[in-house]
Amino acid sequence: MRLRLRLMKKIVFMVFALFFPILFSCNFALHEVFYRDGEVNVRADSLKEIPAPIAASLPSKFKIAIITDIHFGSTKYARYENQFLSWLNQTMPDFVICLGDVSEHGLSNEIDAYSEFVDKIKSVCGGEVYTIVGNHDLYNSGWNFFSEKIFPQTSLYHFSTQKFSWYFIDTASGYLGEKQMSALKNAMRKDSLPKIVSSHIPIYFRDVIMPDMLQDTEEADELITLFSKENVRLVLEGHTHEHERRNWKNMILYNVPGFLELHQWALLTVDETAGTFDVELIIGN
Amino acid sequence: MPRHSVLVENMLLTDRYNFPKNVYFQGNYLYDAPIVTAGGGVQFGTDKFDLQGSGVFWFLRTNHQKLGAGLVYHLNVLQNISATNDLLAGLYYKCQPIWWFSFLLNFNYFFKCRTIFEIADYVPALINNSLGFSVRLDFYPIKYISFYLEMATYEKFRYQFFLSPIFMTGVSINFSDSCSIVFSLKAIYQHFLVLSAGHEYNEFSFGMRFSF
Repeated sequence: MRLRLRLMKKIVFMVFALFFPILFSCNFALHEVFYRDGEVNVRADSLKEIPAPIAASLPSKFKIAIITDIHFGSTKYARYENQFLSWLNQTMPDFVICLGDVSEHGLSNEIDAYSEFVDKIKSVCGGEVYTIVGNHDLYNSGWNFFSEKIFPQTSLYHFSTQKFSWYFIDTASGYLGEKQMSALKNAMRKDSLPKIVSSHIPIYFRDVIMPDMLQDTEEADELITLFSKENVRLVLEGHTHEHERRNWKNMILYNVPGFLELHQWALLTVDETAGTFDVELIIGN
Repeated sequence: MPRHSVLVENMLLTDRYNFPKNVYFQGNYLYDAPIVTAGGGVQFGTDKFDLQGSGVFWFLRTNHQKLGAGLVYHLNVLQNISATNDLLAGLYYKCQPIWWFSFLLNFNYFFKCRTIFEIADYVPALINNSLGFSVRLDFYPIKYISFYLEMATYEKFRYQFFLSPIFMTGVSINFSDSCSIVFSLKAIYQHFLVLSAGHEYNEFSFGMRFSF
């Protein structure tokens, strides 16, 4: 009995001795998983209306470059920003959407590097860059830097073009939270336009053993029901670094592959006159 | 000795925003015998209904330890939204090295099949595979009081993908061998795997357990 007790004490001691140093030494600030300043119910408590991109001059048919998972600060893969800027120079999209994870660790210098990249994009194509927050951007209290430095200084926002309504939602914590869900419901129910939604974490992802998607399936079911009822036509998603296109009758779930890892992104062409759109995968050289 | 328990529980308090949407009432039954543990339960809420059944066959038993294989089935119906079937199959290990402490660990394969009514005509089912586990420590310091600490990726009426853990603790005050009151506190977290997880909300519940 005493031997067994001693063994148990040793095991408990070893678990704690290993666990706590890992929590506090990791670059990803693991200890914040238990408490994080600025949780989703604080970040995304209301939907912010922002001006439409270059509304006066936006043509009836326009192009949007979609990038995601740029991970400034990561040294795992070769950087590819210059090649992307060359492609932008040739394609000249009207604006750019970035689906989050702009930084690897949520550090101030990584967010600054992304800001410089955004300036370069704007100087090349002239259009605005609309960014949503990703899970990596929250590490090390990264939301403080992100919300200060990244346009439009919020994680839940919306604008309208002539025939489409564009929603940018905050799924960086793996769930929406009740305030965001309530704000989305209120806005979408009053909005008769077809909708395009940008989300970092997929609302549904394919059948793998650890599905990297919204984890609270009751909330996800409610969201999918809302999207279907309120004429959401396209959901742009990132996070998984993989490419997946899923057609659910009138709604397309389009997972844009990781920019840093795969050197891929997407080009969305919108025809406002016809009320149609097309998404194309772009594979970098 | 085989033992039957009936637990009637209701949630008193949550810090979820649109409380009391999530007020619920639960009724659970448990049969505990040396070779088999089986149970079932129902939960009624204002906007949902849950049904759950589980069984563990303890195929390897010593004085202080047991190893078993078990199944859990759960049906969740969200009014006008969706119906979800959850099925878990896995191994269970229980040990009680000393009279005042026991330890229960289980590890499961987890299958989830959802039907969202709004899209069911063209997407009949959304299917995912995942993992589930739970670790529970029970303490019985004196005859009249027991308490537990548990970390799990699922509980009776909540089945989330790996890894969205629920941290639970509870105390049972035993008036006699057949009657006790139970208080429990749960902290629900989301998406630990991406490390940006959030603490979503807490739940506090109380109930009465009758054993015979």
